[in-house]
Amino acid sequence: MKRWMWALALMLTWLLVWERPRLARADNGPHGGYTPTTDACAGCHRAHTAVGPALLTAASSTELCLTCHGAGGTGADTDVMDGVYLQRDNTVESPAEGVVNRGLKGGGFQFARMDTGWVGDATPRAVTSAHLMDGSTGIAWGGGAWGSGPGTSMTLACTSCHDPHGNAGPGGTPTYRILRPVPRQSGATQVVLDDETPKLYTIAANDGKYFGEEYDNTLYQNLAAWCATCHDRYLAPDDSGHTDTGDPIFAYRHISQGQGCGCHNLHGGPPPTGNPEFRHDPLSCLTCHVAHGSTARMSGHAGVVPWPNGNGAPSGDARSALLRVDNRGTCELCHDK
Amino acid sequence: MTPTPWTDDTPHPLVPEETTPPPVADAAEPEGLPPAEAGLAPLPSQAEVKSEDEARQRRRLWAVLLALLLALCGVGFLFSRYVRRPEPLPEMLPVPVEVNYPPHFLFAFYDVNGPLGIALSPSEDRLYVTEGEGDRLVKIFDTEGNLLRAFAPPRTTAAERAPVYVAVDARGRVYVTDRLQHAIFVYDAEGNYLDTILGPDLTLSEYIAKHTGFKPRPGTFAYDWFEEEVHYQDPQGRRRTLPRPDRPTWAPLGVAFDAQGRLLVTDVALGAHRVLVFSPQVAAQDDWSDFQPEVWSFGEFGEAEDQLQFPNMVVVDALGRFVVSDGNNGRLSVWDAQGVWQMLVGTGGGGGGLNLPRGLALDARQRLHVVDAVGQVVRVYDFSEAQPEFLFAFGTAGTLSGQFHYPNDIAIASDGRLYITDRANDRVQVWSY
Repeated sequence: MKRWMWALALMLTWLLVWERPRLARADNGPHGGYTPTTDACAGCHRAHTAVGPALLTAASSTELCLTCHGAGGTGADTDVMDGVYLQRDNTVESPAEGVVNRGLKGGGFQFARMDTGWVGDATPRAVTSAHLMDGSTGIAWGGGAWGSGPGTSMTLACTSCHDPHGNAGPGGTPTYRILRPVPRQSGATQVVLDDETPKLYTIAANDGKYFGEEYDNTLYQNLAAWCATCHDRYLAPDDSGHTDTGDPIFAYRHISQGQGCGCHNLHGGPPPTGNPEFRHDPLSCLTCHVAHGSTARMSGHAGVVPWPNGNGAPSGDARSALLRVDNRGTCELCHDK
Repeated sequence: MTPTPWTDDTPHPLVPEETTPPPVADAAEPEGLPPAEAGLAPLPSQAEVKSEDEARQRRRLWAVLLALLLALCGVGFLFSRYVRRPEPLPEMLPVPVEVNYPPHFLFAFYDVNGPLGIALSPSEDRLYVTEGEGDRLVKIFDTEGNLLRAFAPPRTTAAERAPVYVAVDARGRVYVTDRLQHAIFVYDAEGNYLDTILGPDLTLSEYIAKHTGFKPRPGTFAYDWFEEEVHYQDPQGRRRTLPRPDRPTWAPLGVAFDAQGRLLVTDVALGAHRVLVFSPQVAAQDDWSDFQPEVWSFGEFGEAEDQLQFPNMVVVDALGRFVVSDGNNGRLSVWDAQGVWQMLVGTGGGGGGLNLPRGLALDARQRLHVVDAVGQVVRVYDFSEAQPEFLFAFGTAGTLSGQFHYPNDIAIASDGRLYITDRANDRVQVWSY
């Protein structure tokens, strides 16, 4: 009898000591501002009892991000699922970091407010293409060395590109949109994107037109290099449209990083028929594409262009490739043919 | 009395003892006894006495067997009922439970996409659940998880709405905050649209009434943030429009009613991050075409002790204190009945330390249940005394029964059932004490 009672007492003690919840608080914002004795780490991580990778309290890091930045914005004003900014006034921030319910610069992952039809309609719609962010695997087109095929297989989550701790630059400096200098799995050398001051999360146009969005020139150029940390072979300097790379898939390429419209500068200035309103100087990936997701629609030729691996499916709207305008509006608005 | 131990030398209590038959050869009357002819009843013989004892024992045995059979039937009934509808004993046998122990997982239902907010009807036979993903509807379930119907703001697509939290007033009307629409939509118990609270002192019906001179009937008007016009029907049933109203500067997030019938709203407009307290007049009115409630507020944006960052929910305890889930500050903020800050709860380490508190619910014993979205648990505090105390937590991270994946809100029924939105698992979990 005594032995049995001792066993029970030991078991109860073990339960009390080891099985009690061992969680701690987070009294601080999640993206930086940590003091030497911060308690913020315990808000999302466990040192020895983590359930998910990166010592997280749950399996999915993306769901952690969406706990604040998802639809409903229960912990943030940047709702990345809807691609809108939710804040209501500019009494504290001056200038304001965005305009309420206007589209985020990166578009959205589920819906977005984009006038991709260029018809004055920015009604929120479901996106037709978006970067993967749910931990699933896809192909980063153009990833890898010349001649290495259509791209590199990658598994993406929010934290592949963003560093949730902030201050990811050299010496703990802040970066644009807390982007990592070296995106995960990219294997690239670092590309540091200095943060913008002041921050502005929404597009400038009040009518939902994403094409023609202005960026700081240095940031713009560096963003192209940053995208190319995964999409290596899309980084095309001046004259790439006239120079054969020797790659069977990415032989001749539209300029994606350069001063002015590179080819035309090479030949003595801007094209006589170009649309000066939308002719970017310099050019970048973001001239034509958004980062998160687009509602652009594709039909006719634009909807059946094969993917770099030769596949034709999915076709139609799903072939929108994060473009800012329906079909090939990004070509026409600039080149005005 | 000490029972005699049974050994091989003693008769077994349940085995009839072998007895020597009484001598019958000698028929002589026993000495000292009067003859039978004297008119007295004859004494029972030893055989008769024994027979009566045996009969009594048989009756007792039958009674015991019957009692055992009844007990077996009872256990069988409870077992079969548990198999059909698993519920812990306190719920099956409504006995007062005064000890503090964590509740038990019962079951979950799944007809929801990314559920965020949850509320019970006054009669506690219906649940209202908001969806953060998919079609972003408000869904009505019975308490067993059967989907009854779904509804959404009129003239909106899934891309134009973001329902978050939900509350039900004493008359059964349903109030849903919407982050994209920056408004509180009001429906009847069946989900029929009634009106929209556009700001602390403006409703849609009031706006129409002021501009048209007549009171619009529910169901004949609508307005959505992404449109530039308000749509309504005039008394003749003709469709009309009005320019959209000026948009008040507020961003309603959490919504609840207290015992006095006051509407409580957390407002996360930039610089505000406060709690709005509406007078009970709101819930008492039949309609809101003349919407002039008394409203006061407390709190402001920041990290200091008396500041708030994304307050998600607020409740009022039995002592009249406002308890706010101060989401991004990772704590509970307690304010007195006048809106003067009192204390923080849930800071620091240990089991009571909060990570990202969201939904709140008090039970009848003033136990405050706090959904910790990133902690993947529900933490329970005793708010019956002036100094709140942490009691226990339940749930772990994961996708199995009783495990949470970013839970968000909670509702508690008077029978001790708890309904918890388990957002990233796309389900509502049902627990019980």
